[in-house]
Amino acid sequence: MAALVGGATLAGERALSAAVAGWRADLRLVAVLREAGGRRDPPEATLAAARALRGVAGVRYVSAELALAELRGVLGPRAEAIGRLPSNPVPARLEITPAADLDAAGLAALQQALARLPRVDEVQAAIGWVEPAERVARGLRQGGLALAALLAVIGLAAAIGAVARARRAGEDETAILRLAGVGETRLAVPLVLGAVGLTTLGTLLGLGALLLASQGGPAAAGPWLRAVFGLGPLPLLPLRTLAMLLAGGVGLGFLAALGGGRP
Amino acid sequence: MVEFRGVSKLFGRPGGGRVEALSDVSFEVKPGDVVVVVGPSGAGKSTLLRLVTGEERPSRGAVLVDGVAVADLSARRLARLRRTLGIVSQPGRLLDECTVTENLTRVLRALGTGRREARERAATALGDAGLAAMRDARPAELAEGERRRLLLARALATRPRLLVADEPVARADPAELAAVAGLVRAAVRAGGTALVATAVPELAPTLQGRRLELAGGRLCPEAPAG
Repeated sequence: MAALVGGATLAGERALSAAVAGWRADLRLVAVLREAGGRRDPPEATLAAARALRGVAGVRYVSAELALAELRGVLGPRAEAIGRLPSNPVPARLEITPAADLDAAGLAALQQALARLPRVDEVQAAIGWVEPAERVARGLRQGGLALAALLAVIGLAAAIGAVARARRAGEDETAILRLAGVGETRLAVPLVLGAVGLTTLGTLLGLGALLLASQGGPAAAGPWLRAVFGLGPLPLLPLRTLAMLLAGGVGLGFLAALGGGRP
Repeated sequence: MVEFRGVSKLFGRPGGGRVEALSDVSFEVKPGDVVVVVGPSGAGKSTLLRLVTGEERPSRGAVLVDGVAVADLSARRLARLRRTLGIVSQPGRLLDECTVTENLTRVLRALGTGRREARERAATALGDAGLAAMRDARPAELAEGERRRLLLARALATRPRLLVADEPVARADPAELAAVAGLVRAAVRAGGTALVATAVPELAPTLQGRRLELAGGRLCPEAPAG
């Protein structure tokens, strides 16, 4: 269960990160520029200052004329009405691409810093979704991993109990063999193998369930997952992560042998 | 081979205070000896043998096997020593869920004996002990004397250098005495040594060994066996 929940958490985190990264790729902060003394030339000072701000990956200057042309393109046939206006209503702007690793607080700070730049009239930024998304990702990771850790502790306790019961059941044979001169390491081997086998099997079952619920699993699993959990198949975890989860299960077996093997 | 030097053993009482199970015991067992420690129940016989096998440590003095103090041995070296001993303890443990033969082969296999050799040695030991007909029975089906002989057969199947046997006979039955004595003497003729503790005084002359009297934890002056 711990492997399943831990693996599902990691896979879910990957899926959410991929989705957020996709949304972030389209995220722009738009600094609307005001004319200074009727000048429409590129505001070099504002451009340079924007590029120098922390968390800025790129800056694109859109002149009033270019902005009008883009608006015409968006409006299509309805753009005819714009031509009848006495002057270009569309202001020049800077389109700022924030750095991919800038968090919600950094985006808010960048927005405020842009607003303070010379010739910036206002800053438009659709960033209200970033902080909730970060919170969900944090909650998913912390909650999922905490649940996985709790399940691991419960699993360990169950394995320790099983080892202790096996040790008590074999007490007579252990005492006989110890008196016959069989070494402690040899006496411990069956308990260790039993404990490691138990936890490894449990981990493999959990990882098996995880793989069934992942992309690349059986086609029939997708509709079932959507119907039961409202989710699609999880991204397939890298082999290294799966190996680490398996190693964790094996390690729990050794801990269980240590904990339950002592009289 | 075995030497007791001024050995005393004290045990704590549940309500406080101490009881002296052994008091200033000194004696020697040489290779090839058959030594029979005779005494009533509570004389300290089992404690004496458990000091040789390393199950107890002396409160005073030293118990040496082949010149090495048993109490000073690490767990690994104690295991190595026990592989040279054939131990029959009181009460002896048997694996009730296994057959008589498996009670021997399990131990032999755990000590590294091959499967075939373990079966052969078990069959020989059971035959020598008069238990061949019971090889597929469970220990619960055996009479008390047969159980004691099974414990002895298991100890002897490992071909020990020193047999340490606590109460190898249950009672003074002539047939039992003769059977057990035969086993012990055969093991000694094969190059072993025997240290036996018994509350059955008739066993000592049957074994034809040295007799040590233990009473109240103290060793009486030696009397010849037989």
